[in-house]
Amino acid sequence: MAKTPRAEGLRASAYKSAGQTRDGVRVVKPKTKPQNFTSSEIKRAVEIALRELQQSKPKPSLAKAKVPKVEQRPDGMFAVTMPGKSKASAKKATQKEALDRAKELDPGSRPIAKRVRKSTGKRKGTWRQP
Amino acid sequence: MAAAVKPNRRRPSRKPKPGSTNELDVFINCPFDDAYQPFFDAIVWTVMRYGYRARCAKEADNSGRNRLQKIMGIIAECRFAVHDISRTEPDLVNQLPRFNMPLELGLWLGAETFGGEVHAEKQCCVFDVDQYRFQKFISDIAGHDIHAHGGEVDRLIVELTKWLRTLPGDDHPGGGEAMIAEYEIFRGVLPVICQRKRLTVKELTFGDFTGIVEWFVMARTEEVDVDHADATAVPVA
Repeated sequence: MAKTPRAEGLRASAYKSAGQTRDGVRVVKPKTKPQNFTSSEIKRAVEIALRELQQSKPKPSLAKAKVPKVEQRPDGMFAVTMPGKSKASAKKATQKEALDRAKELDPGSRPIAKRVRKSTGKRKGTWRQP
Repeated sequence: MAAAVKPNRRRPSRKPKPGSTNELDVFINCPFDDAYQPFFDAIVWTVMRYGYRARCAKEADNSGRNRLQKIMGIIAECRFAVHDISRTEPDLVNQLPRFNMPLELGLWLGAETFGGEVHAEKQCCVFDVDQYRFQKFISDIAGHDIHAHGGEVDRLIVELTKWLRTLPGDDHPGGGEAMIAEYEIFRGVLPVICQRKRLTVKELTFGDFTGIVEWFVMARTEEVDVDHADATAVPVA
């Protein structure tokens, strides 16, 4: 005679938690174990796949960011240009002063500045976000 | 005299009670053929993303126990279920429709009705292609709220998340659109994950798939902030 499934006196099994996500969901470990992978292999494969996905995404260009820009003029002065404007809103003697002025003009934003010298791995004339 | 204001009640806890079914187990009753595989994967992913444990007849493939007994065992253990009765077309080989899904839905409803106090709290969500099509072939379940997926995975995810959000529990990860966006990323990385073991997605077992979903959900949510980082954002001091 076939066994009847558990019904009466059924005991709820304890769940093993895989952890909690940032959005507050507690992830429960599955009932069935993987047959073709070990847990550590899956973990590593997922991490690598997500990293590759992240790297394959094109980075947004800083030059197109809608933030105040600081650029050196031929006369050596540093001009602050606000987003959507073609003329400079301020001119300062140093890049630091110009960046401070840009923050004053647009509080809450992160102004960008054009490099005036070569830095490690970066070319002169490219944008940086201090 | 004015009625006393009721204090805010917390949603019921998901802590299992002694002698009850598993409060986080969701039984998935659906076709297991290749054509339905994208829907099945989406159901498993969504259920697990919401913090529940996906259960189905596939988990017991390797044991020598009678298949129906295994299914009844899983039904007995689960508090929730997702049934899809959309596969009514005759199969190409025998020209006969598959009756497994309606049979298992019947077993579920029987357990809910006759299973006593232990099974009285069972809840299920039934899917079909259209909302009222079931009345033409299984009219006795009229009165149940049938969800239509229209043969689209995205719509199935939206409907399933709607139902999952009504279940007792703690936090939920978001609505249908957010889940679709996450699921698309998951589908994108799944072949890459399989490639590391020189497998195709089709060759994954149910255990492999749920294992991958578990780690993906844990890893992915850690990355949410990075993805949403904006060049114009002010750094937090």
